[in-house]
Amino acid sequence: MRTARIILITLLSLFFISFIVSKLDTKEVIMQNKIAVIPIKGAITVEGTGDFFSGSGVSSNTVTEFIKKSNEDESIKGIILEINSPGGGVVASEEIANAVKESKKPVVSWIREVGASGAYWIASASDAIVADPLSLTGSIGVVSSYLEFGGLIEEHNITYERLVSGKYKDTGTPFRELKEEERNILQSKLDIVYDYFITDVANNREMEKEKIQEIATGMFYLGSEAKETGLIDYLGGKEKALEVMKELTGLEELQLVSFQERKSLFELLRGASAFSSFYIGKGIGSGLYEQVEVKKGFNLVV
Amino acid sequence: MKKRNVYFWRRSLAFVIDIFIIGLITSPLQGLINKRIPIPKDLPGLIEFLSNSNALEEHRSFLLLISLLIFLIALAYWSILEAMLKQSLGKMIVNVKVESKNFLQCVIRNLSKALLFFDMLFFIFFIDIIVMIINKEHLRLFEKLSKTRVVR
Repeated sequence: MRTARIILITLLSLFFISFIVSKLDTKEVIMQNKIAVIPIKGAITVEGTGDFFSGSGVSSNTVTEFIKKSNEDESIKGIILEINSPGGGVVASEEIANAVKESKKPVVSWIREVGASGAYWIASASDAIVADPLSLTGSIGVVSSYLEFGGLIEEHNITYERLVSGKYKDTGTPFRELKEEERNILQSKLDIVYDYFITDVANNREMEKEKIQEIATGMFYLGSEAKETGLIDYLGGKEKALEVMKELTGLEELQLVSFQERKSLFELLRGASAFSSFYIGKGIGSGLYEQVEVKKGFNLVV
Repeated sequence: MKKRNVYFWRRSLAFVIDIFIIGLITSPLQGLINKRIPIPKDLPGLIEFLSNSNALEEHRSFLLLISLLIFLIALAYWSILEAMLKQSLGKMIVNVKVESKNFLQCVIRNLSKALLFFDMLFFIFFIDIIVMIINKEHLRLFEKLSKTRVVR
């Protein structure tokens, strides 16, 4: 009986100490001054193209969900978008930009190495943009490209049998040369997206559309140049982003909470397999953009 | 040789049981860590988190404080029970007892085990175990220092 009493008292006392200490912790800092840090890294797509090794690629589904959760969580006072992306799909970028615009909490975009094209579109929707003087940003424009194998097929005496109902159904197929009429149609689609893109950026940045049009040649800008043209607000890194967030929220202490995408085991294995296959064929040398689609279809990339 | 193995595994089992109990006692503190530091549960996220040297550095003082508290609670758990009952819960289950004369001896003998929870000093526990494996009496270093031993 004595033994049981000693054990019980010891265990309960120690648990009580543990419990009390956990409640005594600087509750205000932990519970009330949280800032969500949402990474936007790699190509922006609707579904995400991340893999086990590179971890590159971000899904608009995931980012918009993170933004939504941050808005629902009362302890989160602001959102920092940690951007390191060359852009991505038009719809994916627009979805995230819209989620940023709709956020009830202040959003600061912190551009690291690259925050270009679609990634800049997203940043433009935030309340403030911070970038390093050497960051690459801007690159406002739309691109759509694919490899065309018509000549190669012909050289090897292979015939592309065209069976379509609807004369534009195979527009953009890599197995034949694009007709002038088709080229004009595709270019007009690109122009519509481009116009939509620059209009939205102009509205987000509260700049005249003509001014954005001048800058939006597809050229990328260094952070220092982007500051002069008005594409970004501040030069600096993480500390500057936190400083801006403190100004926007009026808080003195910030507690950063990182949001990370979680992947299932199947996704990890699939990603690892895709990664190895991709790099075996890829060879040496890669640019900022890895967005060439070798398949039927016409993908718009910002 | 056979006797030594039984002895070692019996003590190991008692230790595992005690670690489990300490885990339960300190669960509010562990919950606090999870709340404050969002450690990713998935492997790629965890790798990225750990490879980012700033990730844990930002919480260095907080983690140090929590590990100190868990160390003190673990030390109190073993020392109080062994001083008063000559047995922790794990030792009761595997039916072994500690031969000691006072509370201070119990504190000293349990220092290395509790240090397992304290920041970068966990290696002391492994030194303690290596000493136990290689010496003829199968006593841990801190058992020798405290002049205590575990008997059946």
